[in-house]
Amino acid sequence: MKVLYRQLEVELKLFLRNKQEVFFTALFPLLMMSLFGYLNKEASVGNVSYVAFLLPGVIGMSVMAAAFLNLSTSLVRQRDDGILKRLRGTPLRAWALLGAKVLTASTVILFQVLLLISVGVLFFGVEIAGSVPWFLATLLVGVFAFTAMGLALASLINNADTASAAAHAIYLPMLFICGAFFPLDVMPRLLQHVAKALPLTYFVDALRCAMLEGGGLGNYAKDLSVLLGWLICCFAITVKTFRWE
Amino acid sequence: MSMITVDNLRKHYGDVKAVDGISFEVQEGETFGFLGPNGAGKTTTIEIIEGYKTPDSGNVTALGLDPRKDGYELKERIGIMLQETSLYPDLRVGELLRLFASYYRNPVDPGALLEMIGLQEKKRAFVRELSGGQRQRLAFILTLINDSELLFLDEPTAGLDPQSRRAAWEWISRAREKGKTVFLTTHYIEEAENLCDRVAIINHGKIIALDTPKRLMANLDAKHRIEFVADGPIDAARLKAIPGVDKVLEAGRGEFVLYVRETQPVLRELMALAEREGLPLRDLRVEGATLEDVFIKLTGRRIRE
Repeated sequence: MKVLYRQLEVELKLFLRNKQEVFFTALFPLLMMSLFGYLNKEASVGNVSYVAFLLPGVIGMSVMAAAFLNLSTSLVRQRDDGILKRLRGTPLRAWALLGAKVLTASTVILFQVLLLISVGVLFFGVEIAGSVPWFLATLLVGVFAFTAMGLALASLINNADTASAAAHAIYLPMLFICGAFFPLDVMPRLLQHVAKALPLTYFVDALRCAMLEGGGLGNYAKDLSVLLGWLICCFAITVKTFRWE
Repeated sequence: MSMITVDNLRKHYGDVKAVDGISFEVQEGETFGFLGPNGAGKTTTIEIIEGYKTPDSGNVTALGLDPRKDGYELKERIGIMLQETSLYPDLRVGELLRLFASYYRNPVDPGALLEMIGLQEKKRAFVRELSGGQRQRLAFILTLINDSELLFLDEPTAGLDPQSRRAAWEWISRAREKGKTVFLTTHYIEEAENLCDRVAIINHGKIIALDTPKRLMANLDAKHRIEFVADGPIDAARLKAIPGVDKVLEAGRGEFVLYVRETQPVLRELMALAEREGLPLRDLRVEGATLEDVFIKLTGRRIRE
Protein backbone atom coordinates (compact mmCIF):
# COMPACT_ATOMS: atom_id res chain seq x y z
CA MET A 1 0.00 0.00 0.00
CA LYS A 2 2.89 2.32 0.82
CA VAL A 3 4.32 1.59 -2.62
CA LEU A 4 1.05 2.54 -4.28
CA TYR A 5 0.87 5.76 -2.27
CA ARG A 6 4.44 6.82 -3.13
CA GLN A 7 3.92 6.00 -6.79
CA LEU A 8 0.66 7.97 -6.82
CA GLU A 9 2.38 10.94 -5.17
CA VAL A 10 5.09 10.87 -7.82
CA GLU A 11 2.68 10.49 -10.73
CA LEU A 12 0.61 13.43 -9.47
CA LYS A 13 3.74 15.56 -9.18
CA LEU A 14 4.79 14.61 -12.69
CA PHE A 15 1.32 15.53 -13.94
CA LEU A 16 1.36 18.94 -12.25
CA ARG A 17 4.87 19.64 -13.57
CA ASN A 18 3.78 19.02 -17.14
CA LYS A 19 2.25 22.35 -18.14
CA GLN A 20 0.86 21.06 -21.42
CA GLU A 21 -0.95 18.18 -19.74
CA VAL A 22 -2.32 20.43 -17.03
CA PHE A 23 -3.64 22.86 -19.62
CA PHE A 24 -5.30 20.30 -21.87
CA THR A 25 -6.69 18.16 -19.05
CA ALA A 26 -7.54 20.58 -16.30
CA LEU A 27 -8.15 23.93 -17.96
CA PHE A 28 -9.29 23.20 -21.49
CA PRO A 29 -12.61 21.52 -20.52
CA LEU A 30 -13.43 24.43 -18.22
CA LEU A 31 -12.65 26.91 -21.00
CA MET A 32 -14.77 24.97 -23.47
CA MET A 33 -17.71 24.92 -21.09
CA SER A 34 -17.43 28.60 -20.24
CA LEU A 35 -17.08 29.65 -23.87
CA PHE A 36 -19.79 27.44 -25.37
CA GLY A 37 -21.99 28.00 -22.36
CA TYR A 38 -21.65 31.77 -22.58
CA LEU A 39 -22.23 31.91 -26.34
CA ASN A 40 -25.37 29.75 -26.10
CA LYS A 41 -26.74 31.04 -22.82
CA GLU A 42 -30.31 31.22 -24.03
CA ALA A 43 -30.34 28.08 -26.16
CA SER A 44 -31.92 24.82 -25.10
CA VAL A 45 -31.77 21.18 -26.14
CA GLY A 46 -35.02 19.29 -25.73
CA ASN A 47 -36.42 20.39 -22.41
CA VAL A 48 -33.13 21.40 -20.76
CA SER A 49 -30.91 24.45 -21.22
CA TYR A 50 -27.90 24.10 -23.52
CA VAL A 51 -25.47 24.50 -20.60
CA ALA A 52 -27.17 21.69 -18.71
CA PHE A 53 -26.81 19.57 -21.85
CA LEU A 54 -23.17 20.63 -22.23
CA LEU A 55 -22.01 19.97 -18.65
CA PRO A 56 -22.08 16.14 -18.82
CA GLY A 57 -20.38 16.35 -22.22
CA VAL A 58 -17.54 18.41 -20.80
CA ILE A 59 -17.22 15.97 -17.90
CA GLY A 60 -16.95 13.18 -20.47
CA MET A 61 -14.24 15.21 -22.20
CA SER A 62 -12.30 15.57 -18.93
CA VAL A 63 -12.50 11.88 -18.21
CA MET A 64 -11.24 11.02 -21.66
CA ALA A 65 -8.42 13.57 -21.46
CA ALA A 66 -7.15 12.28 -18.11
CA ALA A 67 -7.79 8.57 -18.46
CA PHE A 68 -7.09 8.08 -22.16
CA LEU A 69 -4.97 10.93 -23.48
CA ASN A 70 -2.61 11.55 -20.55
CA LEU A 71 -2.30 7.97 -19.53
CA SER A 72 -1.38 6.69 -22.97
CA THR A 73 1.03 9.49 -23.84
CA SER A 74 2.82 9.47 -20.48
CA LEU A 75 3.08 5.69 -20.46
CA VAL A 76 4.58 5.55 -23.95
CA ARG A 77 6.95 8.42 -23.18
CA GLN A 78 8.17 6.66 -20.03
CA ARG A 79 8.65 3.45 -21.96
CA ASP A 80 10.43 5.29 -24.79
CA ASP A 81 12.73 6.93 -22.22
CA GLY A 82 13.55 3.51 -20.74
CA ILE A 83 12.01 4.38 -17.37
CA LEU A 84 9.61 1.42 -17.42
CA LYS A 85 12.52 -0.90 -18.13
CA ARG A 86 14.40 0.48 -15.14
CA LEU A 87 11.33 0.08 -12.91
CA ARG A 88 11.02 -3.51 -14.02
CA GLY A 89 14.46 -4.05 -12.49
CA THR A 90 12.93 -3.34 -9.05
CA PRO A 91 10.39 -5.36 -7.06
CA LEU A 92 7.66 -2.85 -8.04
CA ARG A 93 4.68 -4.86 -9.26
CA ALA A 94 3.05 -4.02 -12.58
CA TRP A 95 -0.33 -3.67 -10.87
CA ALA A 96 1.06 -1.05 -8.49
CA LEU A 97 2.49 0.99 -11.35
CA LEU A 98 -0.69 0.82 -13.41
CA GLY A 99 -2.84 1.23 -10.31
CA ALA A 100 -1.00 4.45 -9.47
CA LYS A 101 -1.59 5.72 -12.99
CA VAL A 102 -5.30 4.95 -12.81
CA LEU A 103 -5.53 6.56 -9.36
CA THR A 104 -3.73 9.64 -10.68
CA ALA A 105 -6.21 9.96 -13.51
CA SER A 106 -9.08 9.38 -11.06
CA THR A 107 -7.82 12.07 -8.68
CA VAL A 108 -7.57 14.59 -11.51
CA ILE A 109 -11.03 13.59 -12.73
CA LEU A 110 -12.54 13.95 -9.26
CA PHE A 111 -11.28 17.53 -8.98
CA GLN A 112 -12.44 18.26 -12.51
CA VAL A 113 -15.94 16.93 -11.89
CA LEU A 114 -16.34 18.98 -8.71
CA LEU A 115 -14.99 22.09 -10.43
CA LEU A 116 -17.13 21.72 -13.55
CA ILE A 117 -20.31 20.99 -11.63
CA SER A 118 -19.68 23.94 -9.28
CA VAL A 119 -19.12 26.32 -12.19
CA GLY A 120 -22.13 24.92 -14.03
CA VAL A 121 -24.44 25.28 -11.04
CA LEU A 122 -23.10 28.58 -9.65
CA PHE A 123 -22.43 30.53 -12.84
CA PHE A 124 -24.78 28.99 -15.38
CA GLY A 125 -27.64 27.98 -13.14
CA VAL A 126 -27.64 24.33 -14.20
CA GLU A 127 -30.15 22.30 -12.23
CA ILE A 128 -28.90 18.88 -11.27
CA ALA A 129 -31.85 16.53 -11.03
CA GLY A 130 -30.43 13.08 -11.40
CA SER A 131 -29.10 10.14 -9.48
CA VAL A 132 -25.81 10.34 -7.57
CA PRO A 133 -25.28 6.55 -7.42
CA TRP A 134 -25.81 6.15 -11.15
CA PHE A 135 -23.57 9.13 -11.83
CA LEU A 136 -20.77 7.61 -9.77
CA ALA A 137 -21.27 4.17 -11.30
CA THR A 138 -21.12 5.63 -14.81
CA LEU A 139 -18.05 7.66 -13.93
CA LEU A 140 -16.31 4.56 -12.59
CA VAL A 141 -17.08 2.44 -15.63
CA GLY A 142 -16.03 5.31 -17.90
CA VAL A 143 -12.72 5.84 -16.14
CA PHE A 144 -11.89 2.16 -16.47
CA ALA A 145 -13.01 1.92 -20.10
CA PHE A 146 -10.95 4.93 -21.19
CA THR A 147 -7.99 3.78 -19.12
CA ALA A 148 -8.15 0.45 -20.92
CA MET A 149 -8.28 2.30 -24.25
CA GLY A 150 -5.21 4.29 -23.23
CA LEU A 151 -3.37 1.12 -22.25
CA ALA A 152 -4.33 -0.57 -25.52
CA LEU A 153 -3.03 2.38 -27.52
CA ALA A 154 0.18 2.39 -25.47
CA SER A 155 0.56 -1.31 -26.23
CA LEU A 156 0.13 -0.88 -29.96
CA ILE A 157 2.37 2.15 -30.54
CA ASN A 158 6.05 2.31 -29.60
CA ASN A 159 7.15 5.81 -30.40
CA ALA A 160 6.24 8.61 -27.99
CA ASP A 161 5.55 11.24 -30.66
CA THR A 162 3.47 8.86 -32.76
CA ALA A 163 1.49 7.80 -29.71
CA SER A 164 0.72 11.39 -28.75
CA ALA A 165 -0.38 12.19 -32.31
CA ALA A 166 -2.53 9.06 -32.47
CA ALA A 167 -4.12 9.72 -29.09
CA HIS A 168 -5.06 13.25 -30.12
CA ALA A 169 -6.31 12.02 -33.49
CA ILE A 170 -8.70 9.73 -31.63
CA TYR A 171 -9.63 12.12 -28.84
CA LEU A 172 -10.40 15.34 -30.74
CA PRO A 173 -12.78 13.97 -33.41
CA MET A 174 -14.59 11.94 -30.75
CA LEU A 175 -15.32 15.11 -28.82
CA PHE A 176 -17.11 16.57 -31.79
CA ILE A 177 -18.99 13.60 -33.20
CA CYS A 178 -19.99 11.79 -30.01
CA GLY A 179 -22.53 14.29 -28.81
CA ALA A 180 -20.42 15.86 -26.08
CA PHE A 181 -20.98 19.42 -27.31
CA PHE A 182 -23.92 19.12 -29.71
CA PRO A 183 -26.83 16.70 -29.94
CA LEU A 184 -26.10 13.74 -32.18
CA ASP A 185 -29.02 14.44 -34.52
CA VAL A 186 -27.57 17.73 -35.83
CA MET A 187 -24.73 15.67 -37.33
CA PRO A 188 -24.63 14.26 -40.86
CA ARG A 189 -26.14 10.76 -41.02
CA LEU A 190 -22.79 9.09 -41.73
CA LEU A 191 -21.14 10.62 -38.66
CA GLN A 192 -24.10 9.55 -36.56
CA HIS A 193 -23.42 5.96 -37.58
CA VAL A 194 -19.73 6.35 -36.72
CA ALA A 195 -20.65 7.86 -33.37
CA LYS A 196 -22.80 4.82 -32.53
CA ALA A 197 -19.65 2.69 -32.52
CA LEU A 198 -17.64 4.96 -30.26
CA PRO A 199 -17.51 4.71 -26.45
CA LEU A 200 -17.67 8.43 -25.70
CA THR A 201 -21.19 8.57 -27.19
CA TYR A 202 -22.47 6.08 -24.63
CA PHE A 203 -20.48 7.52 -21.77
CA VAL A 204 -21.82 11.04 -22.33
CA ASP A 205 -25.33 9.68 -22.82
CA ALA A 206 -25.21 7.84 -19.51
CA LEU A 207 -23.69 10.83 -17.70
CA ARG A 208 -26.40 13.09 -19.11
CA CYS A 209 -29.12 10.73 -17.98
CA ALA A 210 -27.59 10.39 -14.51
CA MET A 211 -27.24 14.15 -14.08
CA LEU A 212 -30.48 15.35 -15.61
CA GLU A 213 -33.02 12.53 -15.30
CA GLY A 214 -31.89 9.80 -12.96
CA GLY A 215 -34.06 6.74 -13.50
CA GLY A 216 -33.23 3.07 -13.10
CA LEU A 217 -31.10 0.36 -14.65
CA GLY A 218 -33.13 0.42 -17.88
CA ASN A 219 -31.78 3.89 -18.66
CA TYR A 220 -28.17 2.76 -18.34
CA ALA A 221 -28.01 -0.88 -19.36
CA LYS A 222 -27.14 -0.28 -23.00
CA ASP A 223 -24.64 2.54 -22.39
CA LEU A 224 -22.80 0.71 -19.65
CA SER A 225 -22.70 -2.59 -21.57
CA VAL A 226 -21.11 -0.89 -24.57
CA LEU A 227 -18.51 0.73 -22.29
CA LEU A 228 -17.83 -2.61 -20.63
CA GLY A 229 -17.44 -4.18 -24.07
CA TRP A 230 -14.81 -1.60 -24.98
CA LEU A 231 -13.14 -2.15 -21.63
CA ILE A 232 -12.88 -5.89 -22.14
CA CYS A 233 -11.62 -5.66 -25.74
CA CYS A 234 -9.01 -3.03 -24.94
CA PHE A 235 -7.89 -4.88 -21.85
CA ALA A 236 -7.45 -8.05 -23.90
CA ILE A 237 -5.31 -6.16 -26.43
CA THR A 238 -3.20 -4.79 -23.57
CA VAL A 239 -2.67 -8.16 -21.95
CA LYS A 240 -1.66 -9.67 -25.29
CA THR A 241 0.65 -6.95 -26.57
CA PHE A 242 1.91 -4.73 -23.73
CA ARG A 243 5.69 -4.30 -23.63
CA TRP A 244 7.97 -2.75 -21.02
CA GLU A 245 10.74 -1.76 -23.40
CA MET B 1 29.46 -19.57 -2.52
CA SER B 2 28.36 -19.01 -6.11
CA MET B 3 26.42 -15.78 -6.54
CA ILE B 4 25.79 -16.38 -10.23
CA THR B 5 25.88 -19.62 -12.17
CA VAL B 6 25.43 -19.70 -15.92
CA ASP B 7 25.47 -23.02 -17.69
CA ASN B 8 25.57 -23.43 -21.47
CA LEU B 9 23.46 -20.35 -22.09
CA ARG B 10 22.13 -19.68 -25.58
CA LYS B 11 20.08 -16.89 -27.09
CA HIS B 12 19.59 -16.43 -30.82
CA TYR B 13 17.93 -13.61 -32.71
CA GLY B 14 17.12 -15.13 -36.08
CA ASP B 15 20.49 -16.16 -37.50
CA VAL B 16 22.44 -14.07 -35.03
CA LYS B 17 23.83 -16.09 -32.14
CA ALA B 18 23.90 -13.31 -29.55
CA VAL B 19 24.84 -15.75 -26.80
CA ASP B 20 26.33 -18.97 -28.04
CA GLY B 21 26.87 -21.51 -25.27
CA ILE B 22 28.27 -19.44 -22.40
CA SER B 23 29.12 -20.96 -18.98
CA PHE B 24 30.70 -19.32 -15.93
CA GLU B 25 30.30 -18.77 -12.20
CA VAL B 26 30.71 -15.65 -10.11
CA GLN B 27 31.87 -16.12 -6.52
CA GLU B 28 30.76 -14.16 -3.48
CA GLY B 29 32.64 -10.90 -3.02
CA GLU B 30 34.38 -10.85 -6.36
CA THR B 31 34.15 -8.31 -9.13
CA PHE B 32 33.63 -10.18 -12.34
CA GLY B 33 33.84 -8.52 -15.73
CA PHE B 34 32.68 -9.24 -19.23
CA LEU B 35 35.11 -7.58 -21.62
CA GLY B 36 34.39 -7.46 -25.32
CA PRO B 37 33.46 -5.31 -28.29
CA ASN B 38 29.97 -3.92 -28.83
CA GLY B 39 27.62 -6.62 -30.07
CA ALA B 40 29.62 -9.44 -28.48
CA GLY B 41 26.64 -10.57 -26.36
CA LYS B 42 27.47 -8.82 -23.09
CA THR B 43 24.17 -7.01 -22.59
CA THR B 44 22.09 -10.00 -23.70
CA THR B 45 23.82 -12.18 -21.10
CA ILE B 46 23.50 -9.69 -18.25
CA GLU B 47 19.83 -9.06 -19.08
CA ILE B 48 19.08 -12.78 -19.06
CA ILE B 49 20.59 -13.06 -15.57
CA GLU B 50 18.64 -9.99 -14.40
CA GLY B 51 15.44 -11.61 -15.67
CA TYR B 52 14.69 -9.18 -18.52
CA LYS B 53 15.18 -11.76 -21.24
CA THR B 54 14.37 -15.45 -21.58
CA PRO B 55 17.17 -17.67 -22.84
CA ASP B 56 16.61 -20.15 -25.68
CA SER B 57 18.38 -22.80 -23.60
CA GLY B 58 20.75 -23.20 -20.69
CA ASN B 59 20.49 -22.66 -16.95
CA VAL B 60 20.91 -19.48 -14.98
CA THR B 61 20.77 -18.79 -11.26
CA ALA B 62 21.52 -15.64 -9.34
CA LEU B 63 21.71 -15.76 -5.52
CA GLY B 64 20.50 -19.33 -5.97
CA LEU B 65 17.26 -18.08 -7.53
CA ASP B 66 15.82 -18.64 -10.98
CA PRO B 67 15.43 -15.15 -12.51
CA ARG B 68 12.29 -16.20 -14.41
CA LYS B 69 10.50 -17.92 -11.54
CA ASP B 70 11.66 -15.93 -8.53
CA GLY B 71 12.07 -12.59 -10.27
CA TYR B 72 10.59 -10.41 -7.52
CA GLU B 73 12.62 -12.01 -4.74
CA LEU B 74 15.74 -11.66 -6.88
CA LYS B 75 15.05 -7.99 -7.67
CA GLU B 76 14.58 -7.33 -3.96
CA ARG B 77 18.20 -8.33 -3.42
CA ILE B 78 20.10 -7.12 -6.49
CA GLY B 79 20.99 -3.68 -7.86
CA ILE B 80 20.72 -2.99 -11.57
CA MET B 81 22.39 -0.30 -13.64
CA LEU B 82 21.24 -0.44 -17.23
CA GLN B 83 23.37 0.55 -20.17
CA GLU B 84 21.28 3.66 -20.65
CA THR B 85 20.53 5.65 -17.53
CA SER B 86 16.86 6.43 -17.78
CA LEU B 87 15.30 8.05 -14.75
CA TYR B 88 12.26 10.31 -14.38
CA PRO B 89 13.64 13.63 -15.74
CA ASP B 90 10.97 15.72 -13.99
CA LEU B 91 11.59 14.39 -10.48
CA ARG B 92 14.00 15.96 -8.04
CA VAL B 93 17.00 13.86 -7.04
CA GLY B 94 15.69 13.46 -3.47
CA GLU B 95 12.22 12.49 -4.69
CA LEU B 96 13.65 9.88 -7.03
CA LEU B 97 15.70 8.30 -4.24
CA ARG B 98 12.72 8.23 -1.88
CA LEU B 99 10.60 6.63 -4.61
CA PHE B 100 13.13 3.89 -5.27
CA ALA B 101 13.62 3.37 -1.53
CA SER B 102 9.88 2.70 -1.26
CA TYR B 103 10.17 -0.27 -3.63
CA TYR B 104 12.28 -2.32 -1.21
CA ARG B 105 11.80 -4.05 2.13
CA ASN B 106 14.99 -2.72 3.74
CA PRO B 107 16.09 0.49 2.08
CA VAL B 108 19.21 2.34 3.21
CA ASP B 109 19.26 6.07 3.98
CA PRO B 110 19.24 7.94 0.63
CA GLY B 111 21.05 10.91 2.22
CA ALA B 112 24.11 8.80 3.04
CA LEU B 113 24.22 7.51 -0.53
CA LEU B 114 24.07 11.05 -1.94
CA GLU B 115 26.90 12.05 0.35
CA MET B 116 28.96 9.10 -0.74
CA ILE B 117 28.98 10.27 -4.37
CA GLY B 118 29.18 13.97 -3.52
CA LEU B 119 25.74 14.93 -4.79
CA GLN B 120 24.19 16.03 -1.48
CA GLU B 121 23.82 19.64 -2.67
CA LYS B 122 21.89 18.39 -5.73
CA LYS B 123 19.13 16.88 -3.63
CA ARG B 124 16.61 19.48 -4.81
CA ALA B 125 17.81 19.60 -8.42
CA PHE B 126 15.69 18.03 -11.15
CA VAL B 127 17.15 14.90 -12.68
CA ARG B 128 17.07 16.56 -16.11
CA GLU B 129 19.35 19.35 -14.81
CA LEU B 130 22.17 16.94 -13.93
CA SER B 131 25.21 16.44 -16.13
CA GLY B 132 25.82 13.08 -17.77
CA GLY B 133 28.36 12.15 -15.12
CA GLN B 134 26.05 13.14 -12.26
CA ARG B 135 23.20 11.16 -13.76
CA GLN B 136 25.46 8.12 -14.01
CA ARG B 137 26.40 8.54 -10.35
CA LEU B 138 22.73 8.73 -9.43
CA ALA B 139 22.01 5.57 -11.42
CA PHE B 140 24.87 3.91 -9.55
CA ILE B 141 23.63 4.72 -6.05
CA LEU B 142 20.17 3.47 -7.01
CA THR B 143 21.78 0.03 -7.25
CA LEU B 144 22.77 0.33 -3.58
CA ILE B 145 19.49 1.66 -2.19
CA ASN B 146 18.24 -1.80 -1.20
CA ASP B 147 21.59 -2.71 0.39
CA SER B 148 21.89 -5.21 -2.44
CA GLU B 149 24.23 -8.19 -2.26
CA LEU B 150 24.85 -8.38 -5.99
CA LEU B 151 25.31 -5.50 -8.42
CA PHE B 152 24.81 -5.68 -12.17
CA LEU B 153 26.54 -2.82 -13.96
CA ASP B 154 26.11 -2.78 -17.73
CA GLU B 155 28.78 -0.50 -19.23
CA PRO B 156 28.79 1.65 -16.07
CA THR B 157 31.18 4.29 -17.42
CA ALA B 158 30.24 4.38 -21.11
CA GLY B 159 30.35 7.91 -22.46
CA LEU B 160 31.98 9.44 -19.36
CA ASP B 161 35.02 11.71 -19.49
CA PRO B 162 38.23 10.18 -18.08
CA GLN B 163 37.94 12.04 -14.77
CA SER B 164 34.36 10.90 -14.11
CA ARG B 165 35.35 7.41 -15.16
CA ARG B 166 38.13 7.27 -12.55
CA ALA B 167 35.69 8.52 -9.93
CA ALA B 168 33.21 5.80 -10.92
CA TRP B 169 35.92 3.15 -10.54
CA GLU B 170 36.53 4.49 -7.05
CA TRP B 171 32.89 3.92 -6.00
CA ILE B 172 32.70 0.53 -7.62
CA SER B 173 35.87 -0.51 -5.76
CA ARG B 174 34.37 0.79 -2.54
CA ALA B 175 31.24 -1.30 -3.08
CA ARG B 176 33.50 -4.30 -3.54
CA GLU B 177 35.34 -3.49 -0.30
CA LYS B 178 32.01 -3.52 1.48
CA GLY B 179 31.59 -7.10 0.37
CA LYS B 180 29.27 -6.61 -2.60
CA THR B 181 29.59 -8.96 -5.50
CA VAL B 182 29.79 -7.08 -8.78
CA PHE B 183 29.11 -8.29 -12.30
CA LEU B 184 29.99 -5.67 -14.88
CA THR B 185 30.32 -5.45 -18.63
CA THR B 186 32.70 -3.10 -20.36
CA HIS B 187 34.57 -2.48 -23.55
CA TYR B 188 37.21 -0.41 -21.75
CA ILE B 189 40.42 -2.35 -21.23
CA GLU B 190 41.57 -0.26 -18.28
CA GLU B 191 38.23 -0.67 -16.55
CA ALA B 192 38.47 -4.45 -16.66
CA GLU B 193 42.12 -4.38 -15.55
CA ASN B 194 41.54 -1.94 -12.72
CA LEU B 195 38.31 -3.27 -11.27
CA CYS B 196 37.94 -6.94 -11.99
CA ASP B 197 39.18 -9.88 -9.98
CA ARG B 198 38.41 -12.05 -12.96
CA VAL B 199 37.65 -11.18 -16.55
CA ALA B 200 35.82 -13.15 -19.20
CA ILE B 201 36.79 -12.01 -22.69
CA ILE B 202 33.77 -12.37 -24.89
CA ASN B 203 33.49 -12.27 -28.66
CA HIS B 204 30.64 -13.32 -30.99
CA GLY B 205 28.59 -14.70 -28.11
CA LYS B 206 31.36 -16.95 -26.77
CA ILE B 207 33.78 -16.69 -23.86
CA ILE B 208 37.20 -16.98 -25.46
CA ALA B 209 39.26 -16.54 -22.27
CA LEU B 210 38.48 -16.37 -18.55
CA ASP B 211 40.97 -15.69 -15.78
CA THR B 212 42.46 -12.97 -13.58
CA PRO B 213 43.78 -10.06 -15.65
CA LYS B 214 47.33 -10.91 -14.49
CA ARG B 215 47.18 -14.49 -15.60
CA LEU B 216 45.51 -13.62 -18.90
CA MET B 217 48.40 -11.30 -19.65
CA ALA B 218 51.00 -13.77 -18.37
CA ASN B 219 49.95 -16.11 -21.16
CA LEU B 220 51.08 -13.64 -23.78
CA ASP B 221 54.42 -14.39 -25.45
CA ALA B 222 55.10 -10.74 -26.11
CA LYS B 223 54.98 -8.93 -22.77
CA HIS B 224 55.58 -5.40 -24.01
CA ARG B 225 54.53 -3.00 -26.68
CA ILE B 226 56.63 -0.38 -28.44
CA GLU B 227 54.52 2.25 -30.18
CA PHE B 228 55.76 5.07 -32.43
CA VAL B 229 54.92 7.18 -35.45
CA ALA B 230 57.43 7.12 -38.32
CA ASP B 231 57.73 10.39 -40.23
CA GLY B 232 58.58 8.72 -43.50
CA PRO B 233 58.20 5.43 -45.34
CA ILE B 234 59.37 2.26 -43.68
CA ASP B 235 58.76 -1.36 -44.57
CA ALA B 236 56.96 -3.33 -41.85
CA ALA B 237 58.96 -6.41 -42.83
CA ARG B 238 62.18 -4.68 -41.73
CA LEU B 239 60.67 -3.98 -38.34
CA LYS B 240 59.51 -7.58 -38.06
CA ALA B 241 63.08 -8.68 -38.84
CA ILE B 242 64.43 -7.02 -35.67
CA PRO B 243 65.32 -9.85 -33.25
CA GLY B 244 62.84 -10.03 -30.36
CA VAL B 245 59.88 -8.58 -32.30
CA ASP B 246 56.96 -11.00 -32.26
CA LYS B 247 54.45 -9.08 -34.26
CA VAL B 248 54.08 -5.76 -36.06
CA LEU B 249 50.76 -3.94 -36.25
CA GLU B 250 50.40 -1.07 -38.73
CA ALA B 251 47.81 1.28 -37.30
CA GLY B 252 47.88 3.71 -40.26
CA ARG B 253 49.33 7.21 -40.78
CA GLY B 254 52.81 5.95 -40.05
CA GLU B 255 51.81 4.54 -36.65
CA PHE B 256 53.35 1.22 -35.71
CA VAL B 257 52.95 -1.13 -32.76
CA LEU B 258 55.67 -3.69 -32.12
CA TYR B 259 54.96 -6.62 -29.79
CA VAL B 260 58.21 -7.61 -28.14
CA ARG B 261 59.58 -10.01 -25.51
CA GLU B 262 62.42 -7.75 -24.36
CA THR B 263 62.34 -3.99 -24.74
CA GLN B 264 65.98 -2.95 -24.49
CA PRO B 265 67.60 -4.90 -27.37
CA VAL B 266 64.66 -4.07 -29.67
CA LEU B 267 64.82 -0.39 -28.81
CA ARG B 268 68.55 -0.34 -29.52
CA GLU B 269 68.01 -1.97 -32.93
CA LEU B 270 65.06 0.28 -33.71
CA MET B 271 67.09 3.39 -32.95
CA ALA B 272 69.97 2.18 -35.09
CA LEU B 273 67.58 1.47 -37.95
CA ALA B 274 66.00 4.91 -37.71
CA GLU B 275 69.47 6.50 -37.58
CA ARG B 276 70.64 4.69 -40.71
CA GLU B 277 67.50 5.59 -42.68
CA GLY B 278 67.41 9.16 -41.41
CA LEU B 279 63.90 8.44 -40.21
CA PRO B 280 62.53 10.59 -37.36
CA LEU B 281 60.38 8.65 -34.86
CA ARG B 282 57.70 10.56 -33.02
CA ASP B 283 55.65 9.68 -29.91
CA LEU B 284 57.82 6.74 -28.99
CA ARG B 285 56.28 4.81 -26.12
CA VAL B 286 57.02 1.58 -24.34
CA GLU B 287 54.14 -0.07 -22.52
CA GLY B 288 53.38 -3.29 -20.78
CA ALA B 289 50.89 -5.57 -22.47
CA THR B 290 47.21 -5.02 -21.68
CA LEU B 291 44.07 -7.09 -21.95
CA GLU B 292 43.63 -5.52 -25.38
CA ASP B 293 46.71 -7.46 -26.48
CA VAL B 294 45.13 -10.62 -25.14
CA PHE B 295 42.07 -9.84 -27.23
CA ILE B 296 44.17 -9.11 -30.31
CA LYS B 297 46.10 -12.32 -29.84
CA LEU B 298 42.88 -14.34 -29.61
CA THR B 299 40.84 -12.65 -32.33
CA GLY B 300 43.28 -10.76 -34.52
CA ARG B 301 41.43 -7.48 -34.03
CA ARG B 302 41.09 -4.64 -31.58
CA ILE B 303 38.21 -4.40 -29.10
CA ARG B 304 37.26 -0.94 -30.29
CA GLU B 305 37.61 -0.50 -34.03
